[in-house]
Amino acid sequence: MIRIAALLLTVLFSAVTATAQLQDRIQLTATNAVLEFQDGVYHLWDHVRVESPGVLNLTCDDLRAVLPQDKTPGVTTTPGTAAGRLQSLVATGHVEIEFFQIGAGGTTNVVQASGDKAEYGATEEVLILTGNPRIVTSSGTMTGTDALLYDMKTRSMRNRGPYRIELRSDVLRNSVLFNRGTNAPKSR
Amino acid sequence: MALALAGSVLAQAPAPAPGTIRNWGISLRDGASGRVQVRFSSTEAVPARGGSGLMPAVWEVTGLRLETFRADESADFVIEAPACRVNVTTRDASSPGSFVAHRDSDGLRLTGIGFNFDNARQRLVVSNDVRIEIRAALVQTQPAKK
Repeated sequence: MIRIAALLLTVLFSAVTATAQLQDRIQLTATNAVLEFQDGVYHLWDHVRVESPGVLNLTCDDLRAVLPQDKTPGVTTTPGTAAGRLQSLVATGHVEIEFFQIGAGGTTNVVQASGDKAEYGATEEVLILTGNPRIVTSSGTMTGTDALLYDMKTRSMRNRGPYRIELRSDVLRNSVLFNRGTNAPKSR
Repeated sequence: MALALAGSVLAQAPAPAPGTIRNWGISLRDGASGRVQVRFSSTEAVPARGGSGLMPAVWEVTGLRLETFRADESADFVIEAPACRVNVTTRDASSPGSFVAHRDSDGLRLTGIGFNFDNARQRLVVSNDVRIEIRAALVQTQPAKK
């Protein structure tokens, strides 16, 4: 049973980790915002949208992000340094995320996820989606799970708790899982 | 922290209207270190209604450029607005109109409609149509420690 679940998860999240070209610019739009420059806190609300090209698009009602600036005089903050990294992010209210994953053939797979809350911490580099998370891929849909965890480093997904998966009927049509021989009597 | 106001008001051309100052600018320094903290400059400024004295606190300015500085007096971030109200005592600035803010060190660029800059708290409140672009990464592993 565990093997089958693992197989289904693998099929559902079939996107393969690849050397993705990660863009280093993030665009945030909203109706309102408060920026606290000292602590690098960005608080946006109402019609929030975050675009990290090639990585993800996120929309929500309220977003708090911490992006510390290097306070060393004369130092330019660049991605790759601690100061150039998103330290934490909490998105709440009608959270919808599109993850872009590079497939084996170089194609881009889009995984759509929704929930009530998304949290990201730079320590784990994992985005955790909670509050009735729902995931839709080209293979099917996952619902009923406690949390969806998206590893930003490996760009892989896993879930926490029970789940329900609905696969599209054509996904397993040519799978050996359902096309192998049985011990049923052969028809004459 | 006690902050001293050490500014300079520049008047280069005859004012077109009473009280109007062209090329208005003021640099505000830290009282203890003497370093420049904030600099306001503009194409034109008028003391706000009710303002009086040699150095009015509140000014209505056009063509605002607000610059903040780091400890070494290198530029930190800049706010530019076509029209703005500036309080040189509190070092705050606000406008109901459009503005652009940017910071070269991390590539921050911000636009919006309506803002309030609170210098004491280093806080910028934007009330409409916020667009922020930052040079940062959602996914960047920490550099290896040597």
